[in-house]
Amino acid sequence: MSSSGHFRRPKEGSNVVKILLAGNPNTGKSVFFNRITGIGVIVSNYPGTTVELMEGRTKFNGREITVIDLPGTYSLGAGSMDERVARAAILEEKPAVVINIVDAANLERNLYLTLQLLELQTPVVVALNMVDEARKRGIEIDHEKLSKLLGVPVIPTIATRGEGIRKVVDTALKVFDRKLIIHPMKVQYGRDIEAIIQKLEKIVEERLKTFPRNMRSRAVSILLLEGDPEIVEEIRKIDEEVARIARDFARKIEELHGEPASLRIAKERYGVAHSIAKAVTTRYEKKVLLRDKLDILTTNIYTGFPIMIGVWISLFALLLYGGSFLEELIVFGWESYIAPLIEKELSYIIPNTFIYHVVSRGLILGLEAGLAVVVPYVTLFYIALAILEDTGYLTRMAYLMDNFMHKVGLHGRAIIPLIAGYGCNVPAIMGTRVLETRRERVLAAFLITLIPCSARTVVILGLIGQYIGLLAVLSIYALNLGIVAISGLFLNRIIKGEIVGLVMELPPYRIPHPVPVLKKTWIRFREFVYIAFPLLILGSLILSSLEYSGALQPIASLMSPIVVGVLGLPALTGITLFFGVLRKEMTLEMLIVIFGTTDFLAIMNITQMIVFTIVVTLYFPCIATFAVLGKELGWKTATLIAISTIILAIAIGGITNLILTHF
Amino acid sequence: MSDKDLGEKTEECLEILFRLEKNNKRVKTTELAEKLGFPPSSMTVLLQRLANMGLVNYEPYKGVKLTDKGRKVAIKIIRRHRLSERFLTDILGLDWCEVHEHACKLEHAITDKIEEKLDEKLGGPTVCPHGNPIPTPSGKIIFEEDVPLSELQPTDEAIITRIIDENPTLLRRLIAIGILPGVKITVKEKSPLGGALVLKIGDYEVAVGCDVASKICVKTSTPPHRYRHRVRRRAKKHSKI
Repeated sequence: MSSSGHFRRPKEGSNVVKILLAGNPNTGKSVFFNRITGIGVIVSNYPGTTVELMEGRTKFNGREITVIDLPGTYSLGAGSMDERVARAAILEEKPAVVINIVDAANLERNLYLTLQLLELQTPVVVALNMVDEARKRGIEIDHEKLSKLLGVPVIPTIATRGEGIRKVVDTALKVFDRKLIIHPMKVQYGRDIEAIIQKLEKIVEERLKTFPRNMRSRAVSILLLEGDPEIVEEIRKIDEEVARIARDFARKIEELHGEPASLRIAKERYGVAHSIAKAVTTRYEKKVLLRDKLDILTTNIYTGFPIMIGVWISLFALLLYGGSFLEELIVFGWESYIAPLIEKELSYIIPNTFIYHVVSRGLILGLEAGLAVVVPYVTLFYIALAILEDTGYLTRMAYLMDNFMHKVGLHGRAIIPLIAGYGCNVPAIMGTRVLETRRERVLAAFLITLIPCSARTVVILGLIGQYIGLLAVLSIYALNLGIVAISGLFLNRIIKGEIVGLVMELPPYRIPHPVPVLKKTWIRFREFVYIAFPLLILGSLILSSLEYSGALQPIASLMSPIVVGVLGLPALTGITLFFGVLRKEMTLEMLIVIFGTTDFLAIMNITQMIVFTIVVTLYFPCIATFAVLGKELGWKTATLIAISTIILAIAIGGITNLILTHF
Repeated sequence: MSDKDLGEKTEECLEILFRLEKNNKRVKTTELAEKLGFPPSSMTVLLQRLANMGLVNYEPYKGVKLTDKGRKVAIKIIRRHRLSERFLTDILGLDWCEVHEHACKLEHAITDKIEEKLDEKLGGPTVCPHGNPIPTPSGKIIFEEDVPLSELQPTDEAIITRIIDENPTLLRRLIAIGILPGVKITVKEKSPLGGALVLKIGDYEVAVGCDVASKICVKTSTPPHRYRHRVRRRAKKHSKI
């Protein structure tokens, strides 16, 4: 994807049909989206947010259709960024039809969103999804009756098998073309609230000439009574008096019912959803499914933790063995076949030897660094993550880890990106998007940069593992975990901001569908390549020009007070740290190049090796990580984090050096 | 001595005592001192004074309890506190999350006359901005015997009564996912070490962190006082293992 991708496109001919997919999380929305669209999916951030919207195009009965997958939300208030974006898209992307994907097994809660969609008075077609799963749970929905009650078409579907999807799209087309006229139900509130809504509606109609985003007066009135911050703000800008009157009315509701108006309205809307769901649902004897047993096993105190640790170990093993195997394969192929080819080609094009050396070395090392990290680790990790995500296991893990994460100012959901950090920091930092507040994201991202990724693991194993032993390796990991925990405790105190605790649905276990898994992997992979590759190449070009112009030596001597004085390392190792910025395991490779030996004991003693490893593990996150930090959190924060890690590395390295040389 | 002359600290002490006393048990002096931010030594002096005024029943080492007279004063202060909160949100337009602290200061400056006028101006509100009941002028308080969700144990069933939080983001999130007053829940799992919970609501499951759970109040069929025993018994059972 391109980060600068624009959500708004130039105006198109009206013959392009626009379909928006709305629905709760875990309703099979993404499977549905993938069923309609092909591979050519555009992912773009909604302007000014980190919320992603997926957009695909397809042809149906000779018509061109644009499908936009809105973020999965439980409601359409202004509660979270996702909800704001979903609502904004529904109100602004016009003309369009909304396909509301509804989980048949959870009709009542899903209808809450449906009712809000109807209140916004947008054309809606309901896809009653996962009817097979509902049936397994002993739930049968009368979709014809549901359609009659809601006043919009309701079509039963099984998205995973593609059943009913054509019919949904076909119906949506008919609604778009106004060949099928729908008469959505009016969500009726209690008598007193209804009276207040109608009073406010009249005032709104009289006083306002234009409504924000072309909403109807009833929708505006209800949102005002609910105290929706976004709408209240917009109305206040148009007519302060209307906002004041609405607040008075809201207070009246509160007096009448003894609870805030927003809560009362939500409650009544749930009431409507409840009575509709009740009228159309028949329940049979419920079978206990295997997945329910699995659910109990994975969340139970006694079995949940061992299972979780098992999953972690498998994930690490996959990344460590599978990843490094793939990496070696790629590096071997690259160095023996492709790199010489590039060198040869470049030597024809560039006659100047200096520029030739800079460009060829820079290009080759940069691309190699990218390929060696991206292809094996990132891709493998993404696939594993997508599978864990789509089965529903990640949410259980977040639940189990919630209490631990609280200690460092995060909540359960942050465990996912933190673990991802052991594979590669870059996708891990992108993964912090699952966290709601900026505070949590900054905190989690900082901690991730301290976690030894697979590249750093290579250094730890190559130096400490080879020359000292397994116990020492484990102590390095333990020390690292300690540093992460202490940093977390410390940052928790200094970073200010809102904390929203864990509230998260645990969806029933499902077998992941391969298409969304692969598509998700592909989209994340593409994103990573866009961020990391240009910087890797640029970085290595700069580095190689420094190297060939002989500027590295003076820089190394500039660094020597720290490298030699504080850390007690050989002066030339400072240069290797420069290369480590590209890719951490290059520190080892550069040691070999600079010192001309593979016997590291000839270069450093045991103490120096330990200090070197600690410094490599902690100092400046590699350039790809830095890039993603900058993109996700802003360059100021990224620079601050980078500087802090350098200071931390020097401090911990220096202390270790002091302790080890004196005792 | 009339309650008009009570000092700010004294009033604060009665108010907190009322909140801690929910289960009609004696409150420990140390607990009270901690909540008030008082050194325990001056706590004793203050309690002795309150006991002399007939507001509390204080026995050293056993703890402290409000007398009927003391309870009346406490309820009056709570009424003023919650009215102040309404005043701050409704008239001054302050945000939910910040009104509590300001109201703590404001409540002590309110006289009977101001209280009456405030009530009139606000149109006789029945609940504070956080949904907690405002006591009537005669001191009646609609008192629901609810407990925080975080105290429940697996297999417990309960009905949500209110959400005591001023954070609107959280409140909206809870409403959206279907956690709101009147909803029936079953506790499915509770993790040890602090206690995040898995709740069953209708046909779906929601995990809530312990911090969130402590802000959700529920009514169970089990009376609250029986709860303490159950919790303790469970704790014992665990320690044996």
